[in-house]
Amino acid sequence: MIASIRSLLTPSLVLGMWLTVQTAVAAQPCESNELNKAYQTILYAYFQQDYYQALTQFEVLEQACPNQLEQISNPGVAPLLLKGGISLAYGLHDRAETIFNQLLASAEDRKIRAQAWLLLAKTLFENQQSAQSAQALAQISYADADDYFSQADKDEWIYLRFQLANQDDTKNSTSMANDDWQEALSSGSIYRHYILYNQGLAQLNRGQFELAVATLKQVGKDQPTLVDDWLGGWLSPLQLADQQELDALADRASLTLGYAYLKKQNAAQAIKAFNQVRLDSFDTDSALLGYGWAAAQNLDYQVALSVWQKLQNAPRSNEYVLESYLASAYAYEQAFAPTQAIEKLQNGLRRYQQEEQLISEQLANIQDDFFIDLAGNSDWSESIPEFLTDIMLSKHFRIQLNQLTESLAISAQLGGWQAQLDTFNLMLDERQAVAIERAQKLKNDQTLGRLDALKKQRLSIVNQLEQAKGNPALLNDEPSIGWQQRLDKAQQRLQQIQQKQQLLNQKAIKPSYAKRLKRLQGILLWQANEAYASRAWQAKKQLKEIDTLIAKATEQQVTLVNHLNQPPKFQAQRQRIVALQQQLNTKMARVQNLQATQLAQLKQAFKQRLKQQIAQLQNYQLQGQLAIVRLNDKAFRKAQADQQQGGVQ
Amino acid sequence: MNLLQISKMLAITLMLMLTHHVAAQDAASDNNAPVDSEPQDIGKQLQQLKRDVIALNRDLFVLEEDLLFPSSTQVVVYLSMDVGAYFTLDAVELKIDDKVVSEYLYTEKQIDALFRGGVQRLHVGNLAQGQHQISAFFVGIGPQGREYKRATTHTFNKEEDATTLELQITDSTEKQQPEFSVVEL
Repeated sequence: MIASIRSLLTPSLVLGMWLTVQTAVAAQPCESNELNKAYQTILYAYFQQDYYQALTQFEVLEQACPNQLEQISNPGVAPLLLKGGISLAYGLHDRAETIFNQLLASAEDRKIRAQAWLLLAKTLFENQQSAQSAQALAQISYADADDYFSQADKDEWIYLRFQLANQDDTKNSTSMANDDWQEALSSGSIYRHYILYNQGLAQLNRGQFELAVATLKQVGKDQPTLVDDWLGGWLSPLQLADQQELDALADRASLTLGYAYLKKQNAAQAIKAFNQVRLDSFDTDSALLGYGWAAAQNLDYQVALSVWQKLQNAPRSNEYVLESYLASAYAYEQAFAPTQAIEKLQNGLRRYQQEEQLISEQLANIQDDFFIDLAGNSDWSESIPEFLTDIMLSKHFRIQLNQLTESLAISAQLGGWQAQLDTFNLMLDERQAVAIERAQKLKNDQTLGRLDALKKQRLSIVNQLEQAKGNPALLNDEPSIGWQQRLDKAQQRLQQIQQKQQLLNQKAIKPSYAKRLKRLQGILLWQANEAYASRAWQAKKQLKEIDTLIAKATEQQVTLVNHLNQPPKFQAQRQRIVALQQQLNTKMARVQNLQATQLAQLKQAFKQRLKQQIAQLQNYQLQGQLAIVRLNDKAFRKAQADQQQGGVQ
Repeated sequence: MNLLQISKMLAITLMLMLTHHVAAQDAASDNNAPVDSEPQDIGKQLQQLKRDVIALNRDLFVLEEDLLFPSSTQVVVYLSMDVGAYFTLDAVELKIDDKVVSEYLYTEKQIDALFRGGVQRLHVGNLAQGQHQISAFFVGIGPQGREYKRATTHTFNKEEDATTLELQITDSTEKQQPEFSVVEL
């Protein structure tokens, strides 16, 4: 039965009805309280950075109360601005862009406009639309930034402006816009260091070496002092989270400086710069390699070899580690130790071959499950095989894997919703079964029949009361009725006796019996008259009670009839479930397709990177082999020359 | 200059390329990354999917509310906090007609969200029409950093429409104490 109801609902009909229901629901205006509370619950989710929940609540609010966002009292932040901001934070860049453009087209408030321009610029920046982002940022004046932005927003605005100007400058090789950003930025802003770093790089690119050195040396210099640390950071505007970022930036700046000095053949300064890089930094390996080269440039081969040896002993595998074998061989050669150089090259070749073998095995056995397992594990980066660190920590790979994680999370969510819809269906089945059972019970309750009986009973009492006006005995109570019955019986018996006596010609019974019976009848009649008033009252009371029962029964009858006449209320709900089920199926199919594409692309890119790495290893091997040949050749020639010299002597 | 020296120079050039415009937290070099736009295309598709999923979640949420909490029986209880100078909330226990319907422990993030103007939808449930009593027990840190426990009770009449109540925690500057109340919206 239920299945047949479900099958009757054709998809298009369902969707049409669902939309009608939704439009009808949406057409109702919301009360102010409802609107405000819905908005405040969005804020509650937003402030906890639960952007998904906040956006869902926003959708619910906008569906229930369309075009009423402006009626929210004391929203704190303009609702559309908030929605755009949440969309941006949740990664819905296109949507955020649409919202900010929509807001900018309608809003007149300068504060809202300034904030919308900033958020739009951030969205465009995220979308790598640099020119448009720069245009959006240019719409904000310094005065507006001062008046309407928090210090953090202002810092970000300056950073983005500088970053975009810098990018533009790199492309066009024109002079870089350098505003008075140093003064405008807050003293503890991490952006100051990013700007300094990027400025230093740009200066290096332009060949302004001295200037670049001075700039890069400033990166990470505003670090909290020992006193700040001792005071738990209370006096420092830098937060703990920023400190790690600052340290990493300082490492990167020192590394850049080191290589810049190396390029300028200034080994002493290069060593000094490389020394600034921490030993547990992301840049440690490249710094160690550079340090070795600087030492070698300084003809300090022993130091260079010891640093590179350290690199070779590290439990990691990357281009710096691998290159260090060739570098060591170079140092040995320069230090007139060709045998050790060949030995080092042979060690290197063995390592390259091992690496190549591992990577080739990985390449041959790569499966979708490998990526799915990675995407499902938030700590995947902590357990990467050594030979894959370079590939797997690349930005490209991480972006792709994050996207896979997101689509897998969506799959899981859709799966959960499928279970929820199944539960709703079961719930409706149960409710419908209960409703049918209840209706049946009501029918079996014979409410309709009971009402008729009560009405008959009432009519009988009314008639009895009417007739009792002429014959009070009609209202006799049970004892009186009993007595009357006994008297009637006695009179019948007297009549029978009298008839028999006549037949047998016997002497008639004494008239005193008849008189006695008549007297008794008189007494009963008198008693009935006496009790009439109270018995009539009793009868009327009974009548009232029956009236009450009739009223109740009538009410029940109305309810029952209404209930029986009501159209099946589950139908609309089932239609909504069917419509949602359809949507769910569509999304499920889309996410599966997307995942298939993601996995294919991930696999392809991963294989491509593995092949590149193999090619690099083969290149190292070729270089190593050539160097061995060259060294052997050199040794052979030297031996020949020595021999010839010995022969001459 | 031999191959090794060329390799050295390559390493230097590579380092300079690598460090240009790269945020310091990026662990590995990306100089060999494929230069296609595939992740962006996937990103667009993912964005659209996320939007659709949010819309679907909205419809499911509304359906769930309609099915489980029809307005004729629905009771919603919100919790809001104003200022919070005299009270830091740790937990709330909510009773309706002497039956515990919600026990909630707050994280720092949630408290912060309440301070900043967010309102929590603490409870949604069903009640028959008629008179009911709601009691809320607040536990937290009160003035002078002392453990603080307070309760508030309110009797309300559930009618045909959905009933909305709000537990309000406000600061009384006059008494220098927090105040707790239940308000029918």
